[in-house]
Amino acid sequence: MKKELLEAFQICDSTFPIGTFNHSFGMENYLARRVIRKASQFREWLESYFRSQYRYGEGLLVILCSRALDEGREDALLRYDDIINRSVAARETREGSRMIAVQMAALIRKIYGDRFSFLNRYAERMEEDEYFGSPAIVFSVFAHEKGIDCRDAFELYGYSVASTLVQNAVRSVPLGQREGQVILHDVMLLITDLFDRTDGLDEDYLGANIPGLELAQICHETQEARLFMS
Amino acid sequence: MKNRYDGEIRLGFTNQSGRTVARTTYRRGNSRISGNIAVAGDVPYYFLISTGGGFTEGETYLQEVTLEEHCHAIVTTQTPNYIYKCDGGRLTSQNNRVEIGKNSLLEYYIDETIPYARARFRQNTEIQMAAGSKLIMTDGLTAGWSKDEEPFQYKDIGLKTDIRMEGELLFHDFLLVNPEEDHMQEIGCFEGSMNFNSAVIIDKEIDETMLEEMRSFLNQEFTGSGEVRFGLSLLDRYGLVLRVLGKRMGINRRVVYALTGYYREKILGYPHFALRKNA
Repeated sequence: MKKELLEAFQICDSTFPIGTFNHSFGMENYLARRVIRKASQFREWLESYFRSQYRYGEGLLVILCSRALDEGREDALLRYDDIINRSVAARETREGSRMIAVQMAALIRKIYGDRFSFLNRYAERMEEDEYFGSPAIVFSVFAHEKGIDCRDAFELYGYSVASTLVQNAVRSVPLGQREGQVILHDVMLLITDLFDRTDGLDEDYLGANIPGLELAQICHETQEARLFMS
Repeated sequence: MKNRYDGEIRLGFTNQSGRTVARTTYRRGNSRISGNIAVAGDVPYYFLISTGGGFTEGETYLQEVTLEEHCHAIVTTQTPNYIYKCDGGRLTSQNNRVEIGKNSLLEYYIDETIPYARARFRQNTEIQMAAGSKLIMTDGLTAGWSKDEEPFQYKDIGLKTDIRMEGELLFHDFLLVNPEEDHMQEIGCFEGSMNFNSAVIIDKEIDETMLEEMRSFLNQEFTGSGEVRFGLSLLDRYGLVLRVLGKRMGINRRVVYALTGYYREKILGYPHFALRKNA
Protein backbone atom coordinates (compact mmCIF):
# COMPACT_ATOMS: atom_id res chain seq x y z
CA MET A 1 0.00 0.00 0.00
CA LYS A 2 1.11 3.50 -0.73
CA LYS A 3 2.40 5.17 2.46
CA GLU A 4 0.28 8.24 1.65
CA LEU A 5 -2.93 6.22 1.60
CA LEU A 6 -2.16 4.94 5.08
CA GLU A 7 -1.43 8.47 6.24
CA ALA A 8 -4.77 9.68 4.89
CA PHE A 9 -6.51 6.75 6.52
CA GLN A 10 -4.96 7.64 9.86
CA ILE A 11 -6.41 11.15 9.77
CA CYS A 12 -9.97 9.90 9.43
CA ASP A 13 -9.55 6.61 11.29
CA SER A 14 -12.53 6.01 13.52
CA THR A 15 -10.30 4.32 16.11
CA PHE A 16 -9.27 7.88 17.01
CA PRO A 17 -12.49 9.69 16.32
CA ILE A 18 -11.60 13.38 16.95
CA GLY A 19 -14.99 14.14 18.38
CA THR A 20 -17.02 12.38 15.70
CA PHE A 21 -18.26 9.84 18.25
CA ASN A 22 -20.11 12.59 20.06
CA HIS A 23 -22.37 13.14 17.08
CA SER A 24 -24.99 10.84 15.65
CA PHE A 25 -26.31 13.24 12.99
CA GLY A 26 -29.91 12.68 13.93
CA MET A 27 -29.81 8.93 14.48
CA GLU A 28 -30.37 9.37 18.21
CA ASN A 29 -33.68 11.07 17.53
CA TYR A 30 -34.86 7.92 15.74
CA LEU A 31 -33.65 5.83 18.67
CA ALA A 32 -35.59 8.00 21.12
CA ARG A 33 -38.73 7.75 18.98
CA ARG A 34 -38.21 3.98 18.69
CA VAL A 35 -38.13 4.22 14.91
CA ILE A 36 -34.70 2.60 14.91
CA ARG A 37 -34.80 -0.46 17.19
CA LYS A 38 -32.90 -3.08 15.22
CA ALA A 39 -30.29 -3.66 12.53
CA SER A 40 -32.62 -3.43 9.50
CA GLN A 41 -33.92 -0.03 10.59
CA PHE A 42 -30.45 1.29 11.31
CA ARG A 43 -29.38 0.11 7.86
CA GLU A 44 -32.33 1.97 6.29
CA TRP A 45 -31.33 5.18 8.06
CA LEU A 46 -27.61 4.84 7.25
CA GLU A 47 -28.23 4.16 3.56
CA SER A 48 -30.67 7.03 3.37
CA TYR A 49 -28.06 9.30 4.96
CA PHE A 50 -25.45 8.24 2.40
CA ARG A 51 -27.74 8.47 -0.63
CA SER A 52 -28.63 12.08 0.10
CA GLN A 53 -27.02 14.05 2.90
CA TYR A 54 -23.59 12.48 2.52
CA ARG A 55 -23.75 12.36 -1.27
CA TYR A 56 -24.63 16.03 -1.77
CA GLY A 57 -22.83 17.20 1.35
CA GLU A 58 -19.45 15.87 2.41
CA GLY A 59 -19.18 13.44 -0.50
CA LEU A 60 -19.68 16.03 -3.22
CA LEU A 61 -17.47 18.42 -1.24
CA VAL A 62 -14.56 15.97 -1.32
CA ILE A 63 -14.97 15.66 -5.11
CA LEU A 64 -15.31 19.40 -5.72
CA CYS A 65 -12.38 20.25 -3.44
CA SER A 66 -10.18 17.63 -5.01
CA ARG A 67 -10.95 18.93 -8.52
CA ALA A 68 -10.48 22.55 -7.48
CA LEU A 69 -7.13 21.84 -5.81
CA ASP A 70 -5.93 19.91 -8.87
CA GLU A 71 -6.67 23.00 -10.92
CA GLY A 72 -5.12 25.43 -8.43
CA ARG A 73 -8.47 27.05 -7.57
CA GLU A 74 -8.04 27.16 -3.79
CA ASP A 75 -10.46 30.02 -3.35
CA ALA A 76 -13.32 27.81 -4.52
CA LEU A 77 -12.95 25.89 -1.25
CA LEU A 78 -13.86 28.96 0.73
CA ARG A 79 -17.04 29.36 -1.32
CA TYR A 80 -17.90 25.69 -0.73
CA ASP A 81 -17.36 26.25 3.00
CA ASP A 82 -19.97 28.98 2.90
CA ILE A 83 -22.50 27.06 0.80
CA ILE A 84 -22.26 23.84 2.77
CA ASN A 85 -22.65 25.44 6.15
CA ARG A 86 -25.47 27.72 5.08
CA SER A 87 -27.34 24.72 3.78
CA VAL A 88 -27.67 23.02 7.15
CA ALA A 89 -30.91 24.03 8.87
CA ALA A 90 -30.20 22.09 12.06
CA ARG A 91 -28.02 24.18 14.31
CA GLU A 92 -26.51 21.27 16.23
CA THR A 93 -25.49 19.47 13.07
CA ARG A 94 -23.81 22.62 11.79
CA GLU A 95 -21.94 23.14 15.03
CA GLY A 96 -21.04 19.45 15.29
CA SER A 97 -19.38 19.52 11.86
CA ARG A 98 -17.51 22.64 12.76
CA MET A 99 -16.12 21.08 15.90
CA ILE A 100 -14.92 18.03 13.98
CA ALA A 101 -13.29 20.28 11.36
CA VAL A 102 -11.37 22.20 14.01
CA GLN A 103 -10.24 18.96 15.67
CA MET A 104 -9.18 17.39 12.39
CA ALA A 105 -7.14 20.43 11.37
CA ALA A 106 -5.49 20.48 14.82
CA LEU A 107 -4.63 16.79 14.50
CA ILE A 108 -3.03 17.22 11.09
CA ARG A 109 -1.01 20.18 12.30
CA LYS A 110 0.08 18.26 15.39
CA ILE A 111 1.49 15.47 13.24
CA TYR A 112 2.73 17.40 10.21
CA GLY A 113 3.45 20.83 11.60
CA ASP A 114 2.64 23.88 9.53
CA ARG A 115 3.81 22.61 6.18
CA PHE A 116 0.43 22.79 4.42
CA SER A 117 -0.06 26.47 3.77
CA PHE A 118 -3.70 26.43 2.66
CA LEU A 119 -4.65 24.27 5.63
CA ASN A 120 -2.98 26.76 7.96
CA ARG A 121 -4.91 29.59 6.44
CA TYR A 122 -8.20 27.69 6.63
CA ALA A 123 -7.60 26.55 10.22
CA GLU A 124 -6.69 30.04 11.38
CA ARG A 125 -9.75 31.52 9.75
CA MET A 126 -11.97 28.88 11.30
CA GLU A 127 -10.63 29.92 14.67
CA GLU A 128 -11.29 33.55 13.89
CA ASP A 129 -14.85 32.63 12.82
CA GLU A 130 -14.21 33.96 9.37
CA TYR A 131 -14.91 30.54 7.90
CA PHE A 132 -17.29 28.11 9.36
CA GLY A 133 -15.25 24.97 8.88
CA SER A 134 -16.02 21.64 7.32
CA PRO A 135 -14.21 18.37 8.06
CA ALA A 136 -14.61 17.25 4.44
CA ILE A 137 -12.74 20.34 3.28
CA VAL A 138 -9.96 19.83 5.83
CA PHE A 139 -9.64 16.20 4.81
CA SER A 140 -9.65 17.02 1.09
CA VAL A 141 -6.83 19.50 1.52
CA PHE A 142 -4.75 16.95 3.38
CA ALA A 143 -5.55 14.18 0.88
CA HIS A 144 -4.55 16.48 -1.95
CA GLU A 145 -1.23 17.29 -0.26
CA LYS A 146 -0.61 13.57 0.03
CA GLY A 147 -1.37 12.95 -3.63
CA ILE A 148 -4.49 10.85 -2.93
CA ASP A 149 -6.79 10.83 -5.96
CA CYS A 150 -10.36 11.97 -5.87
CA ARG A 151 -11.99 8.53 -5.81
CA ASP A 152 -9.73 7.26 -3.02
CA ALA A 153 -10.37 10.39 -0.96
CA PHE A 154 -14.15 10.05 -1.46
CA GLU A 155 -14.14 6.39 -0.47
CA LEU A 156 -11.77 6.80 2.47
CA TYR A 157 -13.73 9.69 3.89
CA GLY A 158 -17.05 7.93 3.32
CA TYR A 159 -15.73 4.80 4.99
CA SER A 160 -14.62 6.75 8.03
CA VAL A 161 -18.04 8.40 8.40
CA ALA A 162 -19.82 5.07 7.94
CA SER A 163 -17.62 3.18 10.36
CA THR A 164 -18.06 5.84 13.06
CA LEU A 165 -21.83 5.75 12.67
CA VAL A 166 -21.87 1.93 12.73
CA GLN A 167 -19.77 1.91 15.89
CA ASN A 168 -22.20 4.40 17.45
CA ALA A 169 -25.06 2.11 16.49
CA VAL A 170 -23.35 -0.99 17.89
CA ARG A 171 -23.29 0.78 21.26
CA SER A 172 -26.65 2.51 21.17
CA VAL A 173 -29.22 0.59 19.08
CA PRO A 174 -27.64 -1.84 20.01
CA LEU A 175 -26.40 -4.04 17.18
CA GLY A 176 -24.18 -7.10 17.27
CA GLN A 177 -20.59 -6.43 16.18
CA ARG A 178 -20.96 -8.78 13.23
CA GLU A 179 -24.31 -7.31 12.17
CA GLY A 180 -22.63 -3.91 12.24
CA GLN A 181 -19.75 -5.16 10.10
CA VAL A 182 -22.11 -6.62 7.48
CA ILE A 183 -23.93 -3.27 7.24
CA LEU A 184 -20.63 -1.40 7.03
CA HIS A 185 -19.49 -3.65 4.21
CA ASP A 186 -22.69 -3.07 2.23
CA VAL A 187 -22.39 0.68 2.76
CA MET A 188 -18.82 0.53 1.42
CA LEU A 189 -20.25 -0.84 -1.82
CA LEU A 190 -22.87 1.90 -1.82
CA ILE A 191 -20.13 4.52 -1.37
CA THR A 192 -18.23 3.16 -4.37
CA ASP A 193 -21.38 3.33 -6.47
CA LEU A 194 -22.17 6.84 -5.18
CA PHE A 195 -18.82 8.10 -6.39
CA ASP A 196 -19.65 7.09 -9.95
CA ARG A 197 -23.02 8.83 -9.75
CA THR A 198 -21.73 11.95 -8.03
CA ASP A 199 -18.46 12.68 -9.81
CA GLY A 200 -19.26 15.28 -12.47
CA LEU A 201 -22.03 17.05 -10.53
CA ASP A 202 -21.28 20.73 -10.05
CA GLU A 203 -21.59 22.93 -6.98
CA ASP A 204 -25.25 23.62 -7.74
CA TYR A 205 -26.00 20.30 -6.05
CA LEU A 206 -24.06 21.10 -2.90
CA GLY A 207 -26.07 20.89 0.30
CA ALA A 208 -29.17 19.16 -1.07
CA ASN A 209 -31.14 17.38 1.59
CA ILE A 210 -34.22 15.26 2.28
CA PRO A 211 -36.88 16.08 4.88
CA GLY A 212 -36.77 13.23 7.39
CA LEU A 213 -33.04 13.34 8.12
CA GLU A 214 -33.14 17.06 8.58
CA LEU A 215 -36.19 17.06 10.83
CA ALA A 216 -34.62 14.38 13.05
CA GLN A 217 -31.47 16.50 13.35
CA ILE A 218 -33.53 19.56 14.26
CA CYS A 219 -35.61 17.66 16.81
CA HIS A 220 -32.54 16.22 18.51
CA GLU A 221 -31.84 19.72 19.84
CA THR A 222 -34.73 19.56 22.25
CA GLN A 223 -34.63 15.86 23.03
CA GLU A 224 -34.58 15.12 26.75
CA ALA A 225 -32.46 11.98 27.08
CA ARG A 226 -29.31 12.16 24.99
CA LEU A 227 -26.11 10.22 24.51
CA PHE A 228 -24.84 12.30 21.60
CA MET A 229 -24.26 15.99 21.05
CA SER A 230 -26.09 16.04 17.72
CA MET B 1 -39.15 35.43 -31.57
CA LYS B 2 -40.09 33.02 -28.83
CA ASN B 3 -40.13 34.49 -25.37
CA ARG B 4 -37.77 32.94 -22.92
CA TYR B 5 -40.52 32.38 -20.35
CA ASP B 6 -43.89 30.70 -20.69
CA GLY B 7 -45.18 32.87 -17.92
CA GLU B 8 -43.74 35.97 -16.34
CA ILE B 9 -44.63 38.17 -13.42
CA ARG B 10 -42.97 41.35 -12.25
CA LEU B 11 -44.50 42.79 -9.14
CA GLY B 12 -42.86 45.88 -7.65
CA PHE B 13 -43.83 47.84 -4.55
CA THR B 14 -42.93 51.34 -3.49
CA ASN B 15 -43.63 53.50 -0.47
CA GLN B 16 -45.96 56.35 -1.36
CA SER B 17 -46.36 58.84 1.50
CA GLY B 18 -46.17 56.16 4.14
CA ARG B 19 -48.24 53.50 2.38
CA THR B 20 -47.01 50.61 0.30
CA VAL B 21 -48.46 50.50 -3.18
CA ALA B 22 -47.81 48.28 -6.18
CA ARG B 23 -45.95 50.27 -8.79
CA THR B 24 -45.28 47.49 -11.27
CA THR B 25 -47.76 44.73 -11.99
CA TYR B 26 -46.41 43.29 -15.21
CA ARG B 27 -47.55 39.86 -16.41
CA ARG B 28 -47.13 37.88 -19.56
CA GLY B 29 -47.99 34.43 -20.90
CA ASN B 30 -49.60 31.93 -18.55
CA SER B 31 -49.06 34.02 -15.43
CA ARG B 32 -51.50 36.49 -13.90
CA ILE B 33 -51.59 38.75 -10.88
CA SER B 34 -54.77 39.29 -8.88
CA GLY B 35 -56.00 42.72 -7.96
CA ASN B 36 -55.14 43.94 -4.50
CA ILE B 37 -57.18 42.02 -1.96
CA ALA B 38 -58.09 44.35 0.83
CA VAL B 39 -58.14 42.08 3.83
CA ALA B 40 -54.86 43.05 5.45
CA GLY B 41 -55.62 46.69 6.20
CA ASP B 42 -53.22 49.01 4.41
CA VAL B 43 -50.89 46.20 3.46
CA PRO B 44 -51.14 45.25 -0.21
CA TYR B 45 -51.96 41.59 -0.71
CA TYR B 46 -51.58 39.96 -4.12
CA PHE B 47 -52.14 36.50 -5.51
CA LEU B 48 -49.92 35.04 -8.18
CA ILE B 49 -51.96 32.97 -10.60
CA SER B 50 -51.07 30.29 -13.10
CA THR B 51 -53.77 30.23 -15.80
CA GLY B 52 -52.90 26.79 -17.13
CA GLY B 53 -53.76 25.24 -13.78
CA GLY B 54 -50.26 23.82 -13.76
CA PHE B 55 -46.94 23.76 -15.57
CA THR B 56 -46.43 21.49 -18.55
CA GLU B 57 -43.25 19.73 -19.52
CA GLY B 58 -40.29 21.92 -20.37
CA GLU B 59 -41.96 25.20 -19.47
CA THR B 60 -40.03 27.92 -17.66
CA TYR B 61 -41.60 30.58 -15.46
CA LEU B 62 -40.26 33.74 -13.91
CA GLN B 63 -41.53 35.65 -10.89
CA GLU B 64 -39.90 38.86 -9.78
CA VAL B 65 -41.02 40.54 -6.60
CA THR B 66 -39.35 43.78 -5.59
CA LEU B 67 -39.92 45.87 -2.51
CA GLU B 68 -38.28 49.27 -2.34
CA GLU B 69 -37.35 50.84 1.00
CA HIS B 70 -39.90 50.95 3.85
CA CYS B 71 -42.48 48.70 2.22
CA HIS B 72 -44.65 45.90 3.54
CA ALA B 73 -46.39 43.54 1.15
CA ILE B 74 -47.99 40.12 1.15
CA VAL B 75 -47.56 37.94 -1.92
CA THR B 76 -48.88 34.42 -2.26
CA THR B 77 -49.56 31.82 -4.90
CA GLN B 78 -53.25 31.23 -5.50
CA THR B 79 -53.05 27.47 -5.54
CA PRO B 80 -50.47 24.76 -5.09
CA ASN B 81 -48.09 24.51 -7.99
CA TYR B 82 -49.14 21.52 -10.13
CA ILE B 83 -46.36 20.09 -12.27
CA TYR B 84 -47.55 17.88 -15.11
CA LYS B 85 -45.84 14.74 -16.38
CA CYS B 86 -42.54 15.08 -18.24
CA ASP B 87 -42.60 12.03 -20.46
CA GLY B 88 -40.06 13.58 -22.81
CA GLY B 89 -37.63 13.79 -19.86
CA ARG B 90 -37.43 17.59 -20.08
CA LEU B 91 -37.28 19.63 -16.91
CA THR B 92 -39.96 22.17 -15.99
CA SER B 93 -38.72 25.14 -14.00
CA GLN B 94 -39.67 28.22 -12.11
CA ASN B 95 -37.30 31.04 -11.19
CA ASN B 96 -38.22 33.42 -8.41
CA ARG B 97 -36.19 36.58 -7.92
CA VAL B 98 -36.96 38.63 -4.87
CA GLU B 99 -35.47 41.89 -3.66
CA ILE B 100 -36.39 43.41 -0.33
CA GLY B 101 -35.27 46.98 0.22
CA LYS B 102 -34.09 48.62 3.43
CA ASN B 103 -36.45 48.21 6.40
CA SER B 104 -39.06 46.44 4.31
CA LEU B 105 -41.02 43.31 5.11
CA LEU B 106 -42.14 40.75 2.56
CA GLU B 107 -44.57 37.99 3.45
CA TYR B 108 -44.09 35.45 0.70
CA TYR B 109 -46.39 32.47 1.02
CA ILE B 110 -45.56 29.98 -1.71
CA ASP B 111 -47.92 27.00 -1.73
CA GLU B 112 -46.85 23.41 -2.02
CA THR B 113 -45.48 21.91 -5.19
CA ILE B 114 -47.67 18.98 -6.26
CA PRO B 115 -45.96 16.97 -8.99
CA TYR B 116 -47.94 14.57 -11.16
CA ALA B 117 -46.60 11.13 -11.98
CA ARG B 118 -43.34 11.34 -13.99
CA ALA B 119 -42.97 15.10 -13.44
CA ARG B 120 -39.53 16.73 -13.26
CA PHE B 121 -39.17 20.18 -11.71
CA ARG B 122 -36.77 22.78 -10.34
CA GLN B 123 -37.80 25.84 -8.40
CA ASN B 124 -34.95 28.30 -7.88
CA THR B 125 -35.62 31.19 -5.56
CA GLU B 126 -33.08 33.93 -4.98
CA ILE B 127 -33.80 36.47 -2.30
CA GLN B 128 -31.67 39.57 -1.78
CA MET B 129 -32.35 41.47 1.41
CA ALA B 130 -31.12 44.93 2.35
CA ALA B 131 -30.21 46.08 5.87
CA GLY B 132 -33.09 46.06 8.33
CA SER B 133 -35.41 44.10 6.05
CA LYS B 134 -37.46 41.10 7.10
CA LEU B 135 -38.87 38.05 5.37
CA ILE B 136 -41.53 35.45 6.04
CA MET B 137 -41.47 32.68 3.48
CA THR B 138 -43.27 29.36 3.16
CA ASP B 139 -42.88 26.46 0.79
CA GLY B 140 -43.66 22.76 0.52
CA LEU B 141 -43.74 19.51 -1.40
CA THR B 142 -46.33 16.76 -1.35
CA ALA B 143 -46.38 13.08 -2.30
CA GLY B 144 -47.79 14.30 -5.61
CA TRP B 145 -50.74 13.25 -7.70
CA SER B 146 -51.26 10.23 -9.90
CA LYS B 147 -54.26 8.46 -11.41
CA ASP B 148 -53.76 5.34 -9.35
CA GLU B 149 -53.41 7.49 -6.20
CA GLU B 150 -50.06 5.97 -5.40
CA PRO B 151 -47.72 8.48 -3.69
CA PHE B 152 -44.34 9.63 -5.04
CA GLN B 153 -44.80 8.70 -8.68
CA TYR B 154 -42.82 11.71 -9.82
CA LYS B 155 -39.19 11.94 -10.90
CA ASP B 156 -36.61 14.45 -9.64
CA ILE B 157 -37.90 17.53 -7.88
CA GLY B 158 -35.63 20.25 -6.49
CA LEU B 159 -36.74 23.28 -4.52
CA LYS B 160 -33.83 25.61 -3.89
CA THR B 161 -33.87 28.93 -2.05
CA ASP B 162 -30.88 31.17 -1.47
CA ILE B 163 -31.36 34.01 0.98
CA ARG B 164 -28.76 36.76 1.22
CA MET B 165 -28.66 39.82 3.41
CA GLU B 166 -26.39 42.63 2.27
CA GLY B 167 -24.67 40.08 0.05
CA GLU B 168 -24.02 37.56 2.81
CA LEU B 169 -25.48 34.10 2.27
CA LEU B 170 -27.77 33.36 5.22
CA PHE B 171 -29.49 30.21 4.04
CA HIS B 172 -29.00 27.83 1.15
CA ASP B 173 -32.11 25.70 1.37
CA PHE B 174 -32.17 22.86 -1.10
CA LEU B 175 -34.71 20.07 -1.00
CA LEU B 176 -33.88 17.50 -3.66
CA VAL B 177 -35.72 14.23 -3.99
CA ASN B 178 -35.86 11.63 -6.69
CA PRO B 179 -38.25 8.76 -6.05
CA GLU B 180 -36.39 6.74 -8.66
CA GLU B 181 -33.35 6.73 -6.35
CA ASP B 182 -34.57 7.73 -2.90
CA HIS B 183 -36.71 5.41 -0.84
CA MET B 184 -39.38 8.03 -0.26
CA GLN B 185 -41.40 6.35 2.46
CA GLU B 186 -38.43 5.04 4.40
CA ILE B 187 -36.44 6.47 7.30
CA GLY B 188 -34.74 9.72 6.35
CA CYS B 189 -37.07 10.79 3.58
CA PHE B 190 -40.84 11.31 4.05
CA GLU B 191 -41.08 8.46 6.57
CA GLY B 192 -44.71 7.65 5.88
CA SER B 193 -45.77 11.30 5.70
CA MET B 194 -47.36 12.66 2.55
CA ASN B 195 -46.63 16.34 3.01
CA PHE B 196 -43.55 18.39 3.73
CA ASN B 197 -43.82 22.07 4.56
CA SER B 198 -41.31 24.68 5.51
CA ALA B 199 -41.25 28.23 6.82
CA VAL B 200 -38.29 30.56 7.09
CA ILE B 201 -38.28 33.85 8.98
CA ILE B 202 -35.41 36.28 8.54
CA ASP B 203 -35.13 39.12 11.02
CA LYS B 204 -31.99 40.37 12.75
CA GLU B 205 -33.83 40.42 16.07
CA ILE B 206 -34.42 36.67 16.12
CA ASP B 207 -32.50 35.00 18.91
CA GLU B 208 -32.55 31.99 21.20
CA THR B 209 -35.22 33.51 23.47
CA MET B 210 -37.58 34.23 20.59
CA LEU B 211 -36.99 30.73 19.23
CA GLU B 212 -37.87 29.20 22.61
CA GLU B 213 -41.00 31.31 22.81
CA MET B 214 -42.19 30.14 19.39
CA ARG B 215 -41.21 26.56 20.11
CA SER B 216 -43.27 26.39 23.29
CA PHE B 217 -46.20 28.06 21.53
CA LEU B 218 -46.16 25.45 18.74
CA ASN B 219 -45.66 22.59 21.18
CA GLN B 220 -48.68 23.70 23.18
CA GLU B 221 -50.81 23.98 20.07
CA PHE B 222 -49.87 20.79 18.31
CA THR B 223 -48.12 18.25 20.50
CA GLY B 224 -49.95 14.98 20.77
CA SER B 225 -51.88 15.36 17.53
CA GLY B 226 -49.91 12.38 16.22
CA GLU B 227 -50.47 13.40 12.62
CA VAL B 228 -47.69 15.88 12.33
CA ARG B 229 -44.07 16.27 13.38
CA PHE B 230 -42.19 19.54 13.29
CA GLY B 231 -39.02 21.22 14.46
CA LEU B 232 -37.62 24.73 14.72
CA SER B 233 -33.95 25.65 14.53
CA LEU B 234 -31.91 28.84 14.47
CA LEU B 235 -29.87 29.76 11.45
CA ASP B 236 -26.32 30.83 12.08
CA ARG B 237 -27.39 34.42 11.64
CA TYR B 238 -30.64 36.35 11.59
CA GLY B 239 -33.28 33.73 11.23
CA LEU B 240 -35.07 30.54 11.98
CA VAL B 241 -36.45 27.59 10.08
CA LEU B 242 -39.53 25.47 10.65
CA ARG B 243 -39.84 22.03 9.05
CA VAL B 244 -43.06 20.04 9.10
CA LEU B 245 -43.81 16.46 8.04
CA GLY B 246 -47.39 15.24 8.21
CA LYS B 247 -50.06 13.02 6.77
CA ARG B 248 -52.32 15.80 5.49
CA MET B 249 -51.74 19.16 3.88
CA GLY B 250 -54.25 20.83 6.20
CA ILE B 251 -52.51 20.01 9.44
CA ASN B 252 -49.11 20.95 8.03
CA ARG B 253 -50.46 24.31 6.95
CA ARG B 254 -51.95 24.90 10.36
CA VAL B 255 -48.52 24.46 11.94
CA VAL B 256 -46.87 26.74 9.38
CA TYR B 257 -49.49 29.49 9.70
CA ALA B 258 -49.49 29.19 13.48
CA LEU B 259 -45.79 30.08 13.41
CA THR B 260 -46.00 32.83 10.81
CA GLY B 261 -49.12 34.24 12.48
CA TYR B 262 -47.43 34.23 15.87
CA TYR B 263 -44.43 36.04 14.47
CA ARG B 264 -46.37 38.73 12.58
CA GLU B 265 -48.95 39.31 15.31
CA LYS B 266 -47.23 38.63 18.64
CA ILE B 267 -43.73 39.74 17.71
CA LEU B 268 -44.19 42.35 15.01
CA GLY B 269 -47.57 43.50 16.33
CA TYR B 270 -49.57 43.45 13.08
CA PRO B 271 -53.31 42.85 13.28
CA HIS B 272 -54.62 39.42 12.41
CA PHE B 273 -55.79 38.77 8.88
CA ALA B 274 -56.99 35.59 7.27
CA LEU B 275 -54.71 34.34 4.57
CA ARG B 276 -57.15 32.97 2.03
CA LYS B 277 -55.97 29.42 2.22
CA ASN B 278 -57.47 26.13 3.24
CA ALA B 279 -55.88 24.92 6.40
